[in-house]
Amino acid sequence: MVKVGLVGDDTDQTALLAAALSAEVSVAEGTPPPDCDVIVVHASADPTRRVGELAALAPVMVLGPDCEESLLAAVDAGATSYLPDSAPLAEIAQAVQATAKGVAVVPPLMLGALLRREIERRRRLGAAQEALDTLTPREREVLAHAARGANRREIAETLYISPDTVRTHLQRIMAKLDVHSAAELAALATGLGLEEP
Amino acid sequence: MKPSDRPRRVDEVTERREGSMVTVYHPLTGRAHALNPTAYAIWELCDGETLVEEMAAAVAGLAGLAPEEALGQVTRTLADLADARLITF
Repeated sequence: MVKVGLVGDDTDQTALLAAALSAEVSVAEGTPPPDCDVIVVHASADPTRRVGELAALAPVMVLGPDCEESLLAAVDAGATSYLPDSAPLAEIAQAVQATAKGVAVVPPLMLGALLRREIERRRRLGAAQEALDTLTPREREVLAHAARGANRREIAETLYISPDTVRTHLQRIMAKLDVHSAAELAALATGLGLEEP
Repeated sequence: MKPSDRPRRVDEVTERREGSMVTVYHPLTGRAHALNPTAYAIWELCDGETLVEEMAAAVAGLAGLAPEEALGQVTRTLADLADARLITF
């Protein structure tokens, strides 16, 4: 039987969902057990808040508002599946089982929005790949270390340069790649596969 | 149809959602067409700017299909939409 970790901010709603799902799957409320097959995040306020952290443990299915913005936010945060929390329980149960197998489930009529997001992501990566050619060899080195999670001081020590020089390199890299934050730079570098040694 | 084509939805078409299906109506042909979710998603992408190959790459990425398989599916769907005069190239 599929083991489900159920996380939610509304105790009554979460208990109701757990009871409804328990006929078909094994449900643990609260902190997801380490051996769970899928984690269901059911939260009315900010359903994507913990998704990134939970997605490292198991595939995550988010139950949230019935709107494309929430779907895209959940997927961007690392969710495998997304359903409106108003979906019929039988549909939710089916989606939970599919998500446990790694199959993505989204509302059918939101598929276009998801494809549009994927196309835009690929366009950004394509543009960044072209911009990579404008980086100097040193800037590429700095970017590769940053992509692996090294901070400014660590990069400076590794490359035998000052932290201020690293900062200058990072500022130039961000300008060339048209990104505006360290998090955005890290995500882009990961998308380009630069975190590999 | 080429991968570098940029299909565009016909402006006059109106749509109506019913459950997970969409019915589109073309006033010039006087015909209504039921689109399944995949066909509707592809139809939504026909903005005159998005390349057929971009649609196929996105479908391949999300559905875990081989690129040539995704291109075949997208091309067939677009051909059906074009036959129904719902899109132009």
